Amino acid sequence: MRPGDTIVAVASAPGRSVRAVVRCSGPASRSIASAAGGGGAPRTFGRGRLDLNGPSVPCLLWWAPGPGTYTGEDTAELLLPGHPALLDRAVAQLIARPGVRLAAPGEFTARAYLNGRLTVDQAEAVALTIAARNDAELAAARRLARSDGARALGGLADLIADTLALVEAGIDFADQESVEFIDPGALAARIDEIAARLDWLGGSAPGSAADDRQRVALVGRPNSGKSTLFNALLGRRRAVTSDRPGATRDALVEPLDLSRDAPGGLVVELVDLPGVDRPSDECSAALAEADLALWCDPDAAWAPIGLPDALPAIRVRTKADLPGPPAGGAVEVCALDGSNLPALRRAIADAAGLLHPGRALVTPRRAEAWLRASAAVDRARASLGGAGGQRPAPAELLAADLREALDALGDLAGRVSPDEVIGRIYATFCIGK
Amino acid sequence: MQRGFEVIVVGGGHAGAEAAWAAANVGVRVALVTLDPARIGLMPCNPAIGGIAKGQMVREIDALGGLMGLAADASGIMFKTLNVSRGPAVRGPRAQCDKHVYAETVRRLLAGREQITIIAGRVERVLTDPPRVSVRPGQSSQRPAVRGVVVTDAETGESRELRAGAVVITTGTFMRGLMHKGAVLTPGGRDGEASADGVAGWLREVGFELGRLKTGTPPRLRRSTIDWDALEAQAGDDPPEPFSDLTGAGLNPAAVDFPALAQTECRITRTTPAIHGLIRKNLDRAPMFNGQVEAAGPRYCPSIEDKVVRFSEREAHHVFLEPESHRDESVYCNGISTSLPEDVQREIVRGLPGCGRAEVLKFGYAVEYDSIRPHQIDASCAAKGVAGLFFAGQINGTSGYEEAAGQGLLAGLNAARHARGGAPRTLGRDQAYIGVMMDDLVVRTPVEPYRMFTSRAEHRLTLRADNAADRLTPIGRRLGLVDDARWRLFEARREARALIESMVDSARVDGEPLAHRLKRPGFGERDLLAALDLPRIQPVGSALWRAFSRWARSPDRACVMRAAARTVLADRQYAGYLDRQRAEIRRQREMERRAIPGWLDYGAVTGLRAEARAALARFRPATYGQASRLEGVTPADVSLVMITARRGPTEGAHARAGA
Repeated sequence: MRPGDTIVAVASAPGRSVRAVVRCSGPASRSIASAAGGGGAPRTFGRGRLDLNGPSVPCLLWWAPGPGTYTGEDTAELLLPGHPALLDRAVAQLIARPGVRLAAPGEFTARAYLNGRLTVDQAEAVALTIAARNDAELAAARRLARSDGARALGGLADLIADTLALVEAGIDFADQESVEFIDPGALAARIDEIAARLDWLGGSAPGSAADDRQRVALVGRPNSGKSTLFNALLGRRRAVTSDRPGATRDALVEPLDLSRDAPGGLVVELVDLPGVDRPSDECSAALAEADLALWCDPDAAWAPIGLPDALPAIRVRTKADLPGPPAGGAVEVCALDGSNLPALRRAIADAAGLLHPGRALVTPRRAEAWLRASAAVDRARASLGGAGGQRPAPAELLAADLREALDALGDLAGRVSPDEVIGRIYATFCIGK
Repeated sequence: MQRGFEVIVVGGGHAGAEAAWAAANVGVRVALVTLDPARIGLMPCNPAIGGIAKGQMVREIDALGGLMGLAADASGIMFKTLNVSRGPAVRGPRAQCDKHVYAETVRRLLAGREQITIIAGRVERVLTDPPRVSVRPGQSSQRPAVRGVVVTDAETGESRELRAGAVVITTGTFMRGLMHKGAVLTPGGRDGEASADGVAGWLREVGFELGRLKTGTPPRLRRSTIDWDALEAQAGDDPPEPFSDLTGAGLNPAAVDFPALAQTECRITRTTPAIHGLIRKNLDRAPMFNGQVEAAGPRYCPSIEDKVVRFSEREAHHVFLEPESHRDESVYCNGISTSLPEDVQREIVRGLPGCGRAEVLKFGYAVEYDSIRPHQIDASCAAKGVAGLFFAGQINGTSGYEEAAGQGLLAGLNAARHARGGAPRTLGRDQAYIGVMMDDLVVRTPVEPYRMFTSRAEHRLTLRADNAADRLTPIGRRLGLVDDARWRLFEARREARALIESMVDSARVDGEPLAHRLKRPGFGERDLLAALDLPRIQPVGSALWRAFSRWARSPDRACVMRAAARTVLADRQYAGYLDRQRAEIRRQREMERRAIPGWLDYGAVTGLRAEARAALARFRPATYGQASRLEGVTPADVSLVMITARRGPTEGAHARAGA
């Protein structure tokens, strides 16, 4: 990225429309506007014509000087008829000017961040809003923009900093009066509290990226109605279905949006597998990756079909419109008339553990920081010994773990410097000979 | 025929002595100018060297060929390593010293260096080229250079010029020093000594921005008037451990035997509710509380009046009674630093159990003094506004002999390098506490005198007392600070470490690999030495085995072996953490080492928030790492600075003209 450049991109939705917006940001913005007959008073719409190397099209346009713009740079916008080919040509014309080029994805927001117009959180939230696939993701992005997440993390960082101060006091002021800064039991309790709060934050992070979505696999004998249920859950025909067994030969994976049925729930990956009486490498690999099974059996007999022991399963009595034995705790659904599908969706959301409050960690950067902090707090917990009567590790290692956790969260919630930690000691204890 | 000086050191405290010593080590001719050469190396506060974090710094000074460890080993009367119940990284060697012997040792060591000339006199001003200078921002287009100083001879009162290309100013608390004892105000930086107005006047005149700080000291008691034996004793370590590697090897020029002096004990007493009541009744006479003292004092070393007010629920505070010398009866009352009037101090002392008839030899006092605001120096102790001018010690806003000495060493080294045309040298936060201190000093305006703590060092597990030589002696050797004797000793240590590492990796004890065994909690240095006891080890590589047995049996190497074993053990026990820290150091290295170009105009960086712009323009950090540690500067601000720097000076200036 070279911030000296002026960047250009179509800023409205793709496809035909009455009007489309071409946005420019950077030093050449004003000259672009003037060339089209605008560029007079800032922040005022004017009428002009954009020269398309021969023909020209009428446009509405305005410009504004930085830093009071979204990106913090000089900005211009051209409103043109929303015709894709015309827009392509307009953009090509603009980027032919010296120092003007096509914007990289997200570059307007990146510049806004670099120019101090947005915090990292806000910039991330903008990116998420654009990428949001459903209401819950959108709400999470909005929360992030309002920095609810920063507040939740801030409270946790505060607790860690206070605890670190107590541990550091015991190290740096050991030659002082015989003050016991914190007894081992209270320290262990604090670290448990930190771990619990981290878990809560982490549990509320269902992984933003598609790769970390939980995988829910439909399993069952051939012709048990898996693919029909698959399509019914997705609400569209994706899998080939047939009343004869063996119609499904390859595993299918589709995102399943659960936010309508389970408030706060997000998206899982729904996997349709071939019937398991034809074991294949592909099938067992898919099962090994699954987080949850929907075990389909129209007969509700539940004869073992070789599911991995550790894989939690929801028993689904499919084809519930047909007469059969009592379901015995299974969810009865009929994919054809949709009966009980919402209940199944809720069951999936529940079992997938998606119903957590708060969502502070919706981006990979946050999730990575959380992982670092969690690993450090886990080490701190382990080093306290506790069970087994092990000797607790020395305080400086506990401090190193807490410091690492604090620094990891500091990347998100603001850094707590060693000076501030020492300040917390003075505020609480009578230090000094 | 006397040749000219290359470096002039102003002041003979712990910073000045160390600066002169380091410059002499590098081989330049040094003049140390001080008002009274008989007072070089005094310990005006607690006569103790080292402690937690401070002890690590003394070890670093020693590893770099410094003076402080040698003098402390020659004068220690109670050695005690603090934090022994914790891990090796936070253990701090400390010694109570005989204050007279300590100062004498410093004077003797300095006098023994032919490169050092001690001059009794007062430095009035620094000579520069051009002669009239201003360091105020935007006042001087050309950076002036030091040419020498003007000295008024202490005896004759005559002024003369001393020429040198580098000057180190270490005037401690003597800049506009003002002592408070109740309502009694005495100008001066130390009890019984006038303040150093001369050079302080020059610094103000040329426009250095000064801050005001405060520190204090407790009363001293006559030992024979204390019920000494009735009080709880606090003993030192037996056997004591020296600070300097040279001392252990019998190479300390100041201490052939160790310990050199008879060892003594301290005593512990405490304040009482009656004393606290007395202090509260007299708060209106306490300069710290009635507005007479304006400057901020150190929070880590509060006065007793502070403690009583802030922690009113406490019924007692410990007071450590620490003998200051074998030669006199003076006892330091550690814990009741005060600036209350003498009559109140006397009553406080009499209220301490065991001190009912104690005689006060010297009363406590507070001292306010001027310090250089730290945005005007860089991490090599150099003044940014004047080439060849260096500051070290309390004048930079620090507290403590060790902090002063660490800066003195760096300032002396860099003054010598400057005089010879060499580039300045700094130490990284991952290399030494001295590096942590300098980095902290140049990014923050102090609210109190700066004292080192281990918690300031993010790489604390690496910056240990035991491995100071491994971290710094090779650097010191390259810089010319480390002489042949110390270098040979270090090579022996390196050999011992390698041997022990090999043995640990290959040996089994009672069928268990030694490398596993020494990670067990509680496995100590003694256990390792015992495990390396040859008959118990099944020899694996016979050449190694022979080398090791030869080495280990040679008696003069026992201390090297013990010290190396300590380091091997610490490295192994911290292994996982050290790996993570090393990865972190690598990750940050780029930021830490990359210099911000001098031409950069923060006014021309678009998008900087006002707070960040002000901090960056004031401190002008040397590296991106330092920039990121400035208060009010966020990672986004640092990115903006990077982008502007990448555009280069012409374009940057162009951008500004166009703005």
